[in-house]
Amino acid sequence: MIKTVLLVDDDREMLLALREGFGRYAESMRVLLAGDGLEALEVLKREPVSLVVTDLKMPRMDGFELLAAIMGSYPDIPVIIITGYSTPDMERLARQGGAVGFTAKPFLIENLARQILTMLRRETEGGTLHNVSSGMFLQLVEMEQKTCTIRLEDKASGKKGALFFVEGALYDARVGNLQGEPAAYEIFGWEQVSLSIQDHSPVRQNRIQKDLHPLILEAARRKDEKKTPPPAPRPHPPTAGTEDAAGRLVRIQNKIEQSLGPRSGVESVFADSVWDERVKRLSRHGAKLNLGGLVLGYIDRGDPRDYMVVAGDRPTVIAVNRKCPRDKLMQILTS
Amino acid sequence: MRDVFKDLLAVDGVRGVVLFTPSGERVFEEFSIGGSAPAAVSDWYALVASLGKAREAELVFEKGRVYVRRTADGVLVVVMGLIAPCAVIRLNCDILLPALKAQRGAKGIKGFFKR
Repeated sequence: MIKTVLLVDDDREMLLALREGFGRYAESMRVLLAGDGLEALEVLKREPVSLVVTDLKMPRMDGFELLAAIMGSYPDIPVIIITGYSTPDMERLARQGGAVGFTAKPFLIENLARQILTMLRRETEGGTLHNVSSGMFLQLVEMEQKTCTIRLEDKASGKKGALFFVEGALYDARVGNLQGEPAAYEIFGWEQVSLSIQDHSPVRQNRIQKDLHPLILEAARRKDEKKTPPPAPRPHPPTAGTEDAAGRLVRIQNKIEQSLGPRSGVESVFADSVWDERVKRLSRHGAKLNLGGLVLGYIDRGDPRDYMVVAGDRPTVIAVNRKCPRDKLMQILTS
Repeated sequence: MRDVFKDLLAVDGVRGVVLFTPSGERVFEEFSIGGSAPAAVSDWYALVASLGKAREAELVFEKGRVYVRRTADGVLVVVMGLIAPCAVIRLNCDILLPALKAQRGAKGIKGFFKR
């Protein structure tokens, strides 16, 4: 993943020289330029920046003000200070303000580049994953009570965001200019992501008061609202002489409604002869594997809805959406 | 390969794991001592094949459960007892499937969840 580095200096020639010098590291980083602190904040609002290198003395907004603004709104972005007016006091102030590096001008471009690349590598020190669905992974982070920063890139839109966990609790999220819950909803709506993990979270202020699971469910609901799902498969009407089968459908439907209420995620309950043979086949395999006949199956075929099938002479099929509490429903149907 | 499945096999209720290539060749197989008697590999793959193109399935039989996950790299079959923490097993699979791919070169993520 190519990282974006923002260089901030009112000396245009300096900026151009740095950009040219960093050209040899184009496989690792791309460079954006800003002429002062205000311009830099505008860039940060619209671009997923991984690191900022800034001069101190600049018009409109100087390097110290920019550093404070970054620490407030983008605390995960490391800042390196470069200055022609280096004094021990200035360096102390910059480090106290949150800067991770302080370099006096003049300097060798290679040395600054090495410093930048070292900082960027820390973004992925905990590992990287590609093309994953983030929901389950993040719940494992919660379960394991990890403190970390997870940076994600949506495969579909190319958008980048970050999640900040402190001892398994989601403290904050950021996508562009969005922070807190709105940012978390956007990130959890991404279906396929690449993610990298840093075993450190710079965030200490808890902006998100909800648990992870309800956040993920709410994100799914918001996403569903934006889509118009294709119609559910039409239930096959019970065939003649299947009064028992029809009764069974009603019984199962009632059982689900009583246990889970209207938010069960169940879209339809039906009998479909297509499933009869499948269930028989699975039962035959189960018997061969010393597992016995099939009782219940949950099948995800990559459609907008998944299916649960309750085995029997006339199997009952239940079409469920992604909001369905799968484990709970399986427990209800096997009890 | 065994290392990748170590955590999954250690989950309570997991009796065994079989990993197939997309074409049905067995890549890895391990059953716990005292677990279900290992059946012929072809029998496990026949079960997988009967699921058609399902990318995930959880099957509850009279004497045990089977969890099947299909990815572009292969098919993972987890055999469990009737009482098993299925959510934890699914999470383990979410982690180890990319780790299998990562084993082939890229930096893995295996160590992240080790305390």
